[in-house]
Amino acid sequence: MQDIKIQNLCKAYGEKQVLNNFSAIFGYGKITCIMGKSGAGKTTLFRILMNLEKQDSGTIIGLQNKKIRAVFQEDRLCEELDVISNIRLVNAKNDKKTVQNALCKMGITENKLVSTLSGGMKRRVSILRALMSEFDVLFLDEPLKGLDKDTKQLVLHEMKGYFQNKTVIMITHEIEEAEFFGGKIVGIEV
Amino acid sequence: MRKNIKLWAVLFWLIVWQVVSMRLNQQILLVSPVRVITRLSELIITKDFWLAIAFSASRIIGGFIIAVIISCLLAVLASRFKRVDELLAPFMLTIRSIPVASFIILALIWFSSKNLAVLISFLMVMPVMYSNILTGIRTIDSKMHEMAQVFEIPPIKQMRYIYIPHIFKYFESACAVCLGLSWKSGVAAEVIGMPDGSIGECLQQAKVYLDTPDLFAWTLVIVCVSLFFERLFLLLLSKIKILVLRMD
Repeated sequence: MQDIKIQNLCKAYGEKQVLNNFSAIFGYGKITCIMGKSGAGKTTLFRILMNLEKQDSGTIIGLQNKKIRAVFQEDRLCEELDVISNIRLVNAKNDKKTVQNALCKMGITENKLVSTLSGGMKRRVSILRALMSEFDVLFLDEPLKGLDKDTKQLVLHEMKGYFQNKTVIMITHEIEEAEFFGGKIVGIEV
Repeated sequence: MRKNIKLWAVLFWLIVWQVVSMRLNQQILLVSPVRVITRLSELIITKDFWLAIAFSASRIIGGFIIAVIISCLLAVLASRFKRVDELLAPFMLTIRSIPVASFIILALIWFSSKNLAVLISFLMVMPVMYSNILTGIRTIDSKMHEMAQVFEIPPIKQMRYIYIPHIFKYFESACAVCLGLSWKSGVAAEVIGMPDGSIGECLQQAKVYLDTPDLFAWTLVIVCVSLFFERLFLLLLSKIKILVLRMD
């Protein structure tokens, strides 16, 4: 397994240059936090790394044949499915009991339809879906956005348990979150 | 709207109907609800009554089902290929704009009246169903598609758990509208075409002989049968939805 190396990444939308010669190394099996102002290109960087968009120029090494998973800025859950089914949709190897236990640890005790959940609950389901999928590299785009202080602490502790020897890259605006994981912090500027 | 209908309000209007009918005292102009129920109870025990319902229902529902199948196929093709969408747009607009009576008369020139209701029900349902399903397909959130791509969800699972449930909402509402529409247009076609042994023929006979109790009784039958099929179909759809979304 190798580090993820990004060299001179550029991306523009029309006249607007979003990423300008961005370079970074994300260590294999490490947690890296990306911080920067809104509009600095953090989400665009993630989209390029997840192969949802193409860069204008620059190279990315170390993501080939890797199982990439993500917590998006939005929940992106199947509203018509219940909580357990949403999590099992991305990894059927998880049996219902295991998912139920993991949900309890996240403070979700009932297997309701996602459409009936509160915003905070949906967020936690979205996080757990990514954590319980099999992944080599996990991208987290402001995963704790919208959660209250206590729930944030609960989720942060739970997340840490899934991060052992995994490459995790997280976008956050909160320095406390970055410090909690104790990994490298990468700044991104326009 | 149907949830808003209260029994007391229905009873109130039935009483108004009964009082007005008694005051008029002209059974040809306005038959009383009691007389309608009496006539209906006489009709129900006859074999011809049930044969007429079977005749019309089989054709109207047949046209509806054919329209559902063809609209689904066309909507999928139109969402996939722009040219198909462009090709079908004027066709669908024309069908929607032409009055049903024109279609019925035209169809009577071309075909026999026996299966007229199938064609008319089909023509009335197809454009509505097609546009609803197409809207359903077009409003699929691209973000969900990205999620499926990142999590490498197999195409069949994507279809079953992400796309179909979304389109289903549009399909369900189209069915609720179209089932009533197919009955109204189908019976109208039968009234004009008068195929032997149909509900439309019974209605036409009632008109010819100024048999108002029969006219009201058959109208009530059409409303009841249409509602029955609507409920049955929507119940069936909800069961199918549960089956589709079930995860082992």
